[in-house]
Amino acid sequence: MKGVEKVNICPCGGVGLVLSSVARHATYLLTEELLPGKTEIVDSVGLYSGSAEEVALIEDYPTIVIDGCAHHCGTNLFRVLGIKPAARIFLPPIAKMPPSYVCECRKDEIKLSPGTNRRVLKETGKNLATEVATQAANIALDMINSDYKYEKQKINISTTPLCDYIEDVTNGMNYIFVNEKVEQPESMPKISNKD
Amino acid sequence: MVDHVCIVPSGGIKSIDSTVTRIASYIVNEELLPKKSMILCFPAYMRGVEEDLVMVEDYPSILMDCQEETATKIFYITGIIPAARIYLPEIIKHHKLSPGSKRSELDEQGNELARMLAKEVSRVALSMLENPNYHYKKQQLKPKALRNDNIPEDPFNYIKLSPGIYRPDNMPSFLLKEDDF
Repeated sequence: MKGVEKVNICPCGGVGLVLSSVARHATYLLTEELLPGKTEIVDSVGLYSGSAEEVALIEDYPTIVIDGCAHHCGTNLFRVLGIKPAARIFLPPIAKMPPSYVCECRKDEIKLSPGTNRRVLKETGKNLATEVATQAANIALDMINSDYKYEKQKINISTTPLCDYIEDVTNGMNYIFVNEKVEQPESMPKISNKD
Repeated sequence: MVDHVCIVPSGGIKSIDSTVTRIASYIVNEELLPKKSMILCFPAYMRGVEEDLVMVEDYPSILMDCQEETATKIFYITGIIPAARIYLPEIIKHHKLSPGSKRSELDEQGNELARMLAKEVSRVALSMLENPNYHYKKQQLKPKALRNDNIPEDPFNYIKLSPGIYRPDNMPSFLLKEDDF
């Protein structure tokens, strides 16, 4: 079986909250340590400013979006661009769950929490980032190694206003759970329930 | 006279330079100009989060641009003119510094550059904050099309004030404070 060649990861790109630093750190972990060469970072401001390279990435390969906070800015970016991510990881609930990347005997001692330092994450923030990167790696590997079929998309930005707050921004995506930490739009190819 | 400035890091994630601008924003906001500065979050701004919209409409913005000039481009497509722009590649050259080699957590070189960039941002900010004759006229968002096909080169006709420090030609002028570094 052969799925996709590579998978994009698109963190929210925020700067104010520690959660955005966690999303960014998870992205670096995934692309530099867990799955180098098989995953690619997508830059949200590059997309907003019209970078042709970033546009080509999200049109040609499936993207995992990381939403750091309740504004769901990663999901909003895809709404504005008129395409759908392959999967979405929403950080806040994960901070209340046990880690999946350690054995059962250590689950109680590993705390997942963003912490309070947005410049350099403390240990619990790095733990949370590791959990997010692990989840992203699992579903990326599923897309690469299974018969996951990604149909190329074209961005469609002609009518979407910028800087216009939409209350329920995730509604249009119709997210369904792949597992308790990962969601995917209902209309996108099914991802295996990896955890 | 203005009582706050809006600090705008490049917002990128791929280059080390973008990490440098983000860390510099935190240094300005937390250490150099606490209570006088706010940090703009680009994704929240494009999402339409009200506090981020108010920040750029009501207060002078100081952009930090990397090579790709994404901060300038995003301001252009949303119809807001910055009060000043700091261009990191020129700051690096002028001060003979380096961003280092680690984007996830800046190394010693990267942190030294971030601190220097923060001092330059603070110098520009204080040139506005401490000048009773600096008047900022509130602006209103006028978002344009998303694609950059029509973004002109140098859309704000930047005037160079000092190495790496610019002001759009139609924004209020200010006398740049002497550096003390």
